[in-house]
Amino acid sequence: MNKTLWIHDLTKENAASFFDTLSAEDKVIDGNDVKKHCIGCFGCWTRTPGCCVITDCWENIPKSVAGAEKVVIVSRLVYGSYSPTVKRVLDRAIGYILPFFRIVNNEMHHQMRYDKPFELTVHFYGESILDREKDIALKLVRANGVNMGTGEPEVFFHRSFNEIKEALI
Amino acid sequence: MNVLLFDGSPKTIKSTSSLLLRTLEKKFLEKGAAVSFGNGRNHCVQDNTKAVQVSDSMIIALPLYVDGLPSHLLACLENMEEQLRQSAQKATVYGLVNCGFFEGHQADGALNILRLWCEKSGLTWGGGIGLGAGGMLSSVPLDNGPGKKIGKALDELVENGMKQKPIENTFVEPNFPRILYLYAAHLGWWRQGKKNGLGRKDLYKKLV
Repeated sequence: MNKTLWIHDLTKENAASFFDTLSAEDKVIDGNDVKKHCIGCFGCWTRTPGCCVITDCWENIPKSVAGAEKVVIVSRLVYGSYSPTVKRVLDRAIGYILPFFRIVNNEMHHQMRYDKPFELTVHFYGESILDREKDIALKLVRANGVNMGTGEPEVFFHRSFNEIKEALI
Repeated sequence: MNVLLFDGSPKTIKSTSSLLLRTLEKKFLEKGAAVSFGNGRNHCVQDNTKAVQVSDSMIIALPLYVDGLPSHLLACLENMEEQLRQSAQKATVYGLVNCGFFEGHQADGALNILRLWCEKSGLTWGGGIGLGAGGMLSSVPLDNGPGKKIGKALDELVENGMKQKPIENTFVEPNFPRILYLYAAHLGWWRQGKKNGLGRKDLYKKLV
């Protein structure tokens, strides 16, 4: 079981300077390497449960999430959302959860495929982040946390990758 | 009045988003608008940007994905931002987000993401609709019965879209018991699995 799964949209240069010190137990998904986006076929729920049907060596993103104790996302903040690069990875991860629904806090959400939840941390970065972008992002990540069955996610905002590096090292 | 109906679904056929846009198309045509279509799967930034620039109203219809926008749509919108920002834009943009969850308000975040894109692109945000129980929208008429509230919300969108007037964000579900929607959804997933040669237990498979 991986200790930490990192999902990021950093340049190769920035990624190399940071991820080369990781433990062998950790895993890294560079969103820039995931070229194909989710096609909305629901195959990860009804054809190859838990696994994406697109066989491009990224079909096991859901399994990688399931194997992690912690998931740490490093993403540019775009309109209060993850960047398209990171979102591409997250969209292809929905096989991690079940298609079936449950009611949580009087709202409909997905049932969990796996029993052991992971901890979710998100580091957003951007040169000029508006307060309302932060509000949107916080709500988005909290909603993700409910749907993925994590505890309360931690969310941080940084002006640049260097700030993230300083915060994490 | 030039109306652009923009499909934000990653599906190429039979998506709820395209069904809703076809419904809007009829309503706008009845009002005398000129309607054109675009979609986020089109990688040509020039095509998409030009389509927005000649429109008076733009409706982006999309499914809620991981509580936000599908990644391909997010990329498409971001790619357009710089070109749109460089000149004055006349379009008022409305969002129409359908989600598989029963509650339409779970689409609120996605509408806010669209609103921010509009602000950064120099477009006017006109408000939007969050539709719940997306899984049943293709099965019910949208002008009576359980779909009546949704039809009414779409009529209001068209009415205001024709005048480029803003609407309050509206969240609506079919007039249908939530628990029945849940059971129907589960039955639907079991049936889809069966078509693919899978039993009910297979759908719960764990890989770790």
